[in-house]
Amino acid sequence: MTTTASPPGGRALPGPAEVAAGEGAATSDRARTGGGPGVTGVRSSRAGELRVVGQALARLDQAEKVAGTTRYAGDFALPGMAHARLVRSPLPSARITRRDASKALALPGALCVLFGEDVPHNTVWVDVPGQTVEVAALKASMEVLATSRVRFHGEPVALVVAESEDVLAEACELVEIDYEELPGVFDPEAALAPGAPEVHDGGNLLGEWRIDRGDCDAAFAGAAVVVEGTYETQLVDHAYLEPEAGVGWLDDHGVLTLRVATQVVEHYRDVARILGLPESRVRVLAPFVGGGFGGKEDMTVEPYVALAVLQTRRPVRMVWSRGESLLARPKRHPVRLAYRTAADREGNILAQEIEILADSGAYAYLSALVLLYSSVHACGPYRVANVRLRARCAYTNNPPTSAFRGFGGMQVVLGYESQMDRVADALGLSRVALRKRNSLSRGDALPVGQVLETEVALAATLDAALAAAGPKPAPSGPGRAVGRGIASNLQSYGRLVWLNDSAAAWVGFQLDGSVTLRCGVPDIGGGQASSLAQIAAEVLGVSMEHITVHFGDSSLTPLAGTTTATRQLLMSGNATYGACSALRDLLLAGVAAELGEPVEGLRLEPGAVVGDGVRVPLAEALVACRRQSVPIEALGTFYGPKGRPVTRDLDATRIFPDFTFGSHVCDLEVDLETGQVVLLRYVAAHDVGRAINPRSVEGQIKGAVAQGLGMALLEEVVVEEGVNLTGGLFQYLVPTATDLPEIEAVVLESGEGMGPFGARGIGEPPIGPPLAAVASALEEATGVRPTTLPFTPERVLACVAASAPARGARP
Amino acid sequence: MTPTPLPEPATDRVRPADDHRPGADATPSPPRTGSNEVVLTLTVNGEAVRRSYATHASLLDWLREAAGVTDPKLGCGEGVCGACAVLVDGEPVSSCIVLAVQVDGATVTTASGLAGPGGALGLLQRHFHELHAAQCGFCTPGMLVTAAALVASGRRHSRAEIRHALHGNLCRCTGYGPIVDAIEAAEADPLLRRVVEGGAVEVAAIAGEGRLP
Amino acid sequence: MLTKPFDYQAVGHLEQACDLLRHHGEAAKVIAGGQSLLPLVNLGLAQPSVVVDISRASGHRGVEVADGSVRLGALLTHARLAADPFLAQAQPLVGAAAARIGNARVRVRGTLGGSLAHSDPAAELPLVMVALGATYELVDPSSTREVKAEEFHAGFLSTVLEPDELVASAVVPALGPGWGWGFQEVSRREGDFALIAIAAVVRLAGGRIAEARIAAGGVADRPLRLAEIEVAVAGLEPAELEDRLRSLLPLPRLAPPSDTNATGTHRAHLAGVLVRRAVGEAAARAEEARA
Repeated sequence: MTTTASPPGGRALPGPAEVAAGEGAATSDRARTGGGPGVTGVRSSRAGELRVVGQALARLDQAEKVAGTTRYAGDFALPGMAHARLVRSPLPSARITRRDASKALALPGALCVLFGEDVPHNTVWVDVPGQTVEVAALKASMEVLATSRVRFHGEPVALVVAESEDVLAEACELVEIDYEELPGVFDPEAALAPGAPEVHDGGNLLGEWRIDRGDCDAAFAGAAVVVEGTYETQLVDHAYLEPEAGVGWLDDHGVLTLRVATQVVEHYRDVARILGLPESRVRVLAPFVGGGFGGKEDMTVEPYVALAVLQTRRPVRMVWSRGESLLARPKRHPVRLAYRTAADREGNILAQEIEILADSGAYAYLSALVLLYSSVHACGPYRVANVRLRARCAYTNNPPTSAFRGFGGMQVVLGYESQMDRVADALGLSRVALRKRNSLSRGDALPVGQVLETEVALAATLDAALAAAGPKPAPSGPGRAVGRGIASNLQSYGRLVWLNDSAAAWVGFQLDGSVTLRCGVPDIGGGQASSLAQIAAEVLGVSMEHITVHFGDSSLTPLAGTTTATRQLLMSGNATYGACSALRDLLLAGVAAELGEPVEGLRLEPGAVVGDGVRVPLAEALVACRRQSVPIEALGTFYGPKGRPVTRDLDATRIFPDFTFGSHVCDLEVDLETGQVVLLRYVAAHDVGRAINPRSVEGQIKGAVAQGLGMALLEEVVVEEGVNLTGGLFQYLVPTATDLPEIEAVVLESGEGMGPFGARGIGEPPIGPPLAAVASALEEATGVRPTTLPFTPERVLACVAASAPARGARP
Repeated sequence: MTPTPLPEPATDRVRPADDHRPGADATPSPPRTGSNEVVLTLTVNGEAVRRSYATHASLLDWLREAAGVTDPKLGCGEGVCGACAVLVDGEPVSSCIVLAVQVDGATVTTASGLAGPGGALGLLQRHFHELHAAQCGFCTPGMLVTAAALVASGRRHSRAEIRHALHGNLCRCTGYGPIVDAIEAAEADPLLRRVVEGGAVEVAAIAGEGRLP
Repeated sequence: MLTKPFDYQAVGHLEQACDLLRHHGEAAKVIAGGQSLLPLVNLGLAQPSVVVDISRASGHRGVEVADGSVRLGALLTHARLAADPFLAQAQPLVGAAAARIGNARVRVRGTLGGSLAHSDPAAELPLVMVALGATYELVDPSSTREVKAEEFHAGFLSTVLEPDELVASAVVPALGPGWGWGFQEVSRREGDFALIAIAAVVRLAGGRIAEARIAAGGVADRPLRLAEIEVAVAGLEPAELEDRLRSLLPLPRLAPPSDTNATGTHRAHLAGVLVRRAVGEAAARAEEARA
């Protein structure tokens, strides 16, 4: 009936999006098991059936970005616009004893000062309304503006609005807030000890997950080798180049409109709840975002801009300084990992015993879910029959932690991959062979119980990465040592299956044959909107330039959910695919009716509907649809796979839609006298299912690797007794062009993903392995494995010193 | 259907203000008035721009708020990240830590000034575009300006040299490789090679092929 | 806009700036390139009420080589110092150090006088000035005086400048026959302030080190001459340096500070390594020059 482009290998997609678009629902057990004819595993070349998808085209958004004309959130201004800023707590734990705005308000040009009592509903919700269920006891909520108690350095206490930035700066200084310092707790272990100061009433344990699968005790008792390791990750910041920003105003219908840098336009619901407005009266626009990485997943400026607009009835802009961004926006969880791993003589992993403790900082945010990701991913891409895991996260008076690319799936890579190296070394086996031997396969179950339904190409990614890396380089001189590290990982794409995830897209032909695509997806720099256009161009037979994508508008574009969790290609991609397929079918139906021919004989080719001896140019086909009262627009809604919510003791048939697998190789050189590390070369190979735009995929891989390498070697938000000492980018060490090596991305395509054309998500997965790959390489160069991040020159030197007697012992 | 009325301001800590909804009043409120303004004239991307603005404004604020040139970005305010980089009389500076008043009369080139005639992408922009050197795009204007200063030397550079030239511009999306690719491609572009045979060129000459002889 | 308003006054001559400084006292700050002050202002760490701009003042931009010394005007930018062919000939250590400062944008705006007066203990230019035994010429509204670099840098971001005084120039000895120079720096990233930097110049005579001047940045609240090391290497052949310098570890009387980038212990260790490398580099250059 249709001319759906088939993926290479001849295996037609079952077309989940078409099902969704046509029938309004998708099933969770889509027919992906069993492979089917023509599945050849991994290919690195693309077959010729696809016309647009698979091409390394320039992205739609990049022309304006390189021209310098893109209007980011902070670039926007309106007549009569006022300016807003937050007054934040200078202390990590204190009672607020007095607040006085009178001096600030006396300043000419100061417009208002708001405290928590002025906020209609002074609570920030931490879930996505309408989608999530309670997954762990969230005992504490967070005030929009703290009224009586502050729990971290930087917590907002007052909102100041003024005519100009100059006045604002002075007014903020004139707001008087007195504090009485309270005892705080700054370490998650200390926070869970009896008698620790309670960050919130009810104790400091925020979330806990357990896995108990198989018989661990028996497995350890019968093991040929047991290796233990503890690992510690640090507090890191997203450090996107664009600090948090937004402009708000009341439009002509009294709709409160916020144009903000965000990954989630659905926060309009949170804003409405805070302000006591109907959800229909709040609109969030997401312009192109200057980097997100999870840091713009929780609300940042939204409630404050909204409050300021309502109070002043004027347009208001709020832009956080870099210092505020580093101080107060939630960061990545510092995690302590303790692993015990058992293996038999052949190198089969028999059991894992894992303890995870994460620092959630002062407020819950998404901590419980981040910890769940850590738990689910904790054994890596390996078959492990016996697993005992306990994961906990605790409140402290440190900066809050929440979403950051990898979302808890990242930190554990350092743990499980270091353990794999150690097991291989203990048994005298090849590290690569050990990974291949234990690799998960289609049909295997993860320790939480989920059975993998798609191809697992882990071994192929290992081979591809090593082949691309070539021989290990020689040291550049005396006193230097070169090390090579490898690391593999898995990372989920798509949201937790009980979150009822959905995304919608609307696509319509204009009468001139151009295409309008509307989708609520926020474009945070990964080319989200452009990828949708590339999918639409493929299905509808038009060129990319003839497609205009309207995105990220909570009122005027169909809601597509968050640009997080590596979900947009899966969700909005499938929704767009479904909408375009439906539109194509409408077009064919219109032409069939016009010609009085059966629709089965028609297909859409670029620029024309074509059948046996028939060729109707697109413009005429569109007119035919009008005459035949056939719509030339379609809405596609894609529903993610569903499953039951988990309980604390994790045991589920499905937790995530699917996973992406990859392997990395890192070559580095250590100056054995100074501990300085030079990254020589880095290769990252991932099975992405299908590359919609290979260059965009490479961009995601390289960027994620860069961020991972920064965390491995350089970055840390330094906090002492709750006081954040990292006030600027001169202190927060984002890697520069000379800190990073040439990063090579190897893109493998199994055609096995759940996204359109068999694509898998790739936004988050490549950030996982660098921590472990660098640790592994440093171990080879110095003789001792570093386990505490970041691997500073000082810590590298400690490895050198510790290994001095045994240098060169490892083959 | 009557819309729900908006809640009234919830506090007395607010000054009475006029309705400033866009469209609700014909005349926008006047720009900040009062002390410490100065009239400066800079040539920005080829056009003389004369504005009265705060004396203590950085060049970045002057460009963005007074002149409406928003392609240079505020990324840190410390001169570290390079998002605010512009060329002043052909040399790259961090416009967030230069006072506008210090460069009165200067010629300023921002990334948008590297466009070709009629707003078409300039040579460097074109290579950035084709090779995905921009992802989120927030560092891109500063990267382009830094790249322009490098390419204007007329010499072809090794990848290591290009990386060295970029080390003062942070990018959080690309890992830098695609940016290096784009600069390498621009330096090798036959259109550029033709004009740089004699050595360094005016930055303007690398903007667009339309400006090349 | 991050900053609070301040008054701005530009001057045509350094002496006018001194007058203004005398008039306004502590409330006034001088800028030339502004690369030290304006980041502090943006970070809220400095709030001047008057800014006196000397960036367009006349003079003080020369590189004058005469009588075995080089006079460097305070308004020379780092980029000029790094690229000046006369300076590269007469005293290459200064340009080599200037080329390591920050990034290209900092070097285009930042000036010699600004760096010296800011007196960051890890900054490159104060370090080489101390190593070379430079003399600074200071001006106030009515007079000039000379101060040795080692005395000028009085502590963390602190100098002996009077409130109405400015650095007008620095005079360093030219690199004479038989001399070689070395400069070694370790930072977390390229362009960051050094964790440790070492500047060294040595003179070879008869195949032995006749004279050495060595200074360290990042080891204390100001750049320090390492007099004991200078004495210890005197009389050695270059081939003997490595063993001799290793025997001196840990370097005597150094107690570098700790901060978020490195502990004092690590800095002390680095100082030992970099002294050896810098002195070795200087000796090699001296041998090369003779050959």
